[in-house]
Amino acid sequence: MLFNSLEFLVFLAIVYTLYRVLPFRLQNYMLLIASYIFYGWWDWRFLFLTAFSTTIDYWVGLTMQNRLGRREKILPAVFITCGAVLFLGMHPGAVPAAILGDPHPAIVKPILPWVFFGILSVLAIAGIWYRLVSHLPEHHRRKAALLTSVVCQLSLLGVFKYFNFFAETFVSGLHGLGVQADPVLINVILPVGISFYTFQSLSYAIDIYRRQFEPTDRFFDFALFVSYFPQMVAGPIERARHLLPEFQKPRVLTLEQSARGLYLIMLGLFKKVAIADGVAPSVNQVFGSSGVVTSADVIGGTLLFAVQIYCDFSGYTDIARGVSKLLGIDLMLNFNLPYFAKSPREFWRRWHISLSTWLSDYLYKTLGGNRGGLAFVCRNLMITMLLGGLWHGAAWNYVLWGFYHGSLLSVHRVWTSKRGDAPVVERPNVLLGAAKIGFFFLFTLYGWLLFRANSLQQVVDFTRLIFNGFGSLDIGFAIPRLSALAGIPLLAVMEFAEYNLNDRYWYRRLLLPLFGLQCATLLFLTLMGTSNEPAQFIYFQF
Amino acid sequence: MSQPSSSTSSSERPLTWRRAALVVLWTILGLALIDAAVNFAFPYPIDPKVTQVGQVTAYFDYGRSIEGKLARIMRPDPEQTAPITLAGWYQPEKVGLLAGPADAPEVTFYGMSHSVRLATALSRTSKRYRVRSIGAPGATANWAFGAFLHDGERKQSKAAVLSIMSLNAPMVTTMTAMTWNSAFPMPYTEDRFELDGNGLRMVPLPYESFDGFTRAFYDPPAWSAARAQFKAHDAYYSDLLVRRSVLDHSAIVRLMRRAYGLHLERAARARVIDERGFHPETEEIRLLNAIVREFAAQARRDGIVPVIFVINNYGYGTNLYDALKDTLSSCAIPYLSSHTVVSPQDPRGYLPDSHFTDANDDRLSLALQHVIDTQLAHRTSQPSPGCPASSLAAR
Repeated sequence: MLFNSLEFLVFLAIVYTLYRVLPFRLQNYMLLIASYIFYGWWDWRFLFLTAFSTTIDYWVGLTMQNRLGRREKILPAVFITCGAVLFLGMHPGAVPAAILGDPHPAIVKPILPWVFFGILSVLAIAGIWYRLVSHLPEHHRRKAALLTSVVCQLSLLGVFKYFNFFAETFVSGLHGLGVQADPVLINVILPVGISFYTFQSLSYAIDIYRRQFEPTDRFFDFALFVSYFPQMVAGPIERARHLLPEFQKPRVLTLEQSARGLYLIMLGLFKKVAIADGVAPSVNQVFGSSGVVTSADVIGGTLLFAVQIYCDFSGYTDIARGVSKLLGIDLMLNFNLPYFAKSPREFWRRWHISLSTWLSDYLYKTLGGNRGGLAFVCRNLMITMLLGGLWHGAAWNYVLWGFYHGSLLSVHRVWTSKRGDAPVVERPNVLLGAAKIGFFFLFTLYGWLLFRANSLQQVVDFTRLIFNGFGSLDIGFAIPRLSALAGIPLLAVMEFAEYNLNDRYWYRRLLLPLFGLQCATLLFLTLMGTSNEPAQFIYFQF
Repeated sequence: MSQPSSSTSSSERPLTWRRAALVVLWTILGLALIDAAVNFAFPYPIDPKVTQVGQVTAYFDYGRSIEGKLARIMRPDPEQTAPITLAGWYQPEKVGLLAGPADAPEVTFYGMSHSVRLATALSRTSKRYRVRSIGAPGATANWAFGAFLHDGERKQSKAAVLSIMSLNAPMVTTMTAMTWNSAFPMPYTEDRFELDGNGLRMVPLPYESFDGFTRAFYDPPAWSAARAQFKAHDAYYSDLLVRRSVLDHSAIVRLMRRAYGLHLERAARARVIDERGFHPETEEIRLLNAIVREFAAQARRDGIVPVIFVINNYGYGTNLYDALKDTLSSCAIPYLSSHTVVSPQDPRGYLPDSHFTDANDDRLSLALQHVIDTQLAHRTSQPSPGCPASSLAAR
């Protein structure tokens, strides 16, 4: 279900109404069911993966603390069994047809007995695993439990996201050595948002292992933490220590929070519908072109892609945060004016914050972080960014993008360590600041070219074009839609105001008529954007 | 990589219900202001004959109701009305192109602009045929077959070419070009065929001529009856898109209606085609195949060589050809599929307005000549036993 669809509007209205009338505990159950429906709207079958991921980390968390009681064993076992039977062994989509009188509804799949046998095997293995692990000394038990979580979650990612990529790469390597082989590929589509919820679930286990968080024994609260619909498929990647407590106490809905939520939803829809979808055809034309592309096309297309990916992804986050605020739950900030960054370090403090902090906390620091010599730190940065690039997708251009940003961070690290930290000046030079922003933006743009390119060959061709044909004004792609042409300058002004005033709620300083006009303009441009071809959120594929 | 601080405004005032209500009121007022400003800045010309307007003006007018658009560009007097409103009518019959020596074998084309362009190319590349063309802007397959049936002089032709294109293949279940093209509605009607076993059943049209249309349009009971008929048989009909109201004056409502229209169109298209191609089990594709069969059978009964011109639009691959090839082969119907001459994956083969380039039209016409010449020389193609018997009944 897309946030920018009529279905979601109806869905949200129903969820919000129920949320307002239900008591606290029932609210959580309702949100869990709603989250599964939200995800299942795309594909029911992959809900089993969510149930699996949830069950494993719930057990892992309690095993680390040796608090896995009878109730905590049975409830998740029943949950995952029902999940397997319902999502793998049946066609839930056929149920409405049966209710409507279809005499032969194909509700049950022929593989149901195998599914049943399979899930019982999984539970048996889990039982044996628990017997073995629970008798270990605490230190070993905690380590074994964490290892189980890491292996299970990364296996899910490995199979569904990276298996074909690595198999093809391996076989290409063999071909390079003169060995003939055909890759064994699995024919499976990538489950939406798998990278997001596996990372979120994994952070729970790691935090417990590090004794930074106490595991919950409320299974359904944890299930809701993993699958909470506003952020499940494209983040922000929340931490259990922040989000889980929100599900464990009654929420207070205030007018202030609801108003901010509505503003965020409006802003997110404006970014997505009016701008991102409005520039998408032009970007696709440049990067999907099989004909002649000029230097101006490449530069213009990359610039528009920078706008598209920012508006698409931050728009999604804004809507997610807005919807969550309506429910009285605060999600973390994921974007903080990233194109105002003056350095690579600052960029990663502003862009996809939930991922960059995740990588920092669980990968970079685990590798050694800033401790050690300059070369060691640069090594850590490179590894972190390479894996961060790979997280975005199983393709070499993402690896290259990660390598590029790792290099930028390393060079910046070397530069600042040689020069020392810049002295804090009371009145910074505005022109110098703008020049730094502009200068680093050029580097960001080239990164987006690597990110968006369809192949390594296109990276080479486009890079060559930029330098060989620089100065050409021969643009061949269609100009963006009217909603984007009008929306981009407006967004730039709004972001500049926020940056300049250093105030996320800068709009509240406006006079009421002016604020009303701003809201009206956002709504009008969004309405204009509804004529654009709706595109799936880019980050769904990650 | 620490999380940035979340600075908040120092001048923040607590939000009260009164303040929230004021924000809503100012927003509504702002929307009204923008609405009025758009109407003032981008007015639509009053002259019905002026239909070529600026891009922004057109953009804000796409969502006007179909009745509203027609009322503006149409006048009962053919001299006063916009030329587009006169196009595509079955009555009176209009031959758009007639070229070539009078004693040469006659070839008649039925279809949209692609069809007219191919006819023109044929008359350009060969003087061995007398070329006739009967066309309508954006004509669907059902319109083209209807035009063939309405053509009183069709039996004088040696060959008849029926054009079908992938772009509007899903619109074969419509009755008028105003419903499937709500952004630029054209009032002409199209014969509507419904499946009747292996054959077809024809649904009567409320009117077939411009005169008939203007009489109905300005007569509320007649127009209401016509609308009811469209609603019953036209898959693209929607009251929300067709009916005129005072809300047509609002740019915001027009934008919303436009979005709704596109939503309906995408949904209708998605029902028939996806990335794997046209869905053979849908009514639309079954109907297309039945029309192709019935056209061939009728032409053969009339002693005419039937030829299907399959236009694979850019980006559609060979989906349309794939959807029709079983019928074409089992009923031994001569055809020319554009993909054999122009790659549907290569944009260089097409003009920006989606037509084939002139050079490709010429190449297609040469390929067509080969098909027609072979058929006229041998008349070998006869339906195989696997071809279902066709029939056409009036409803």
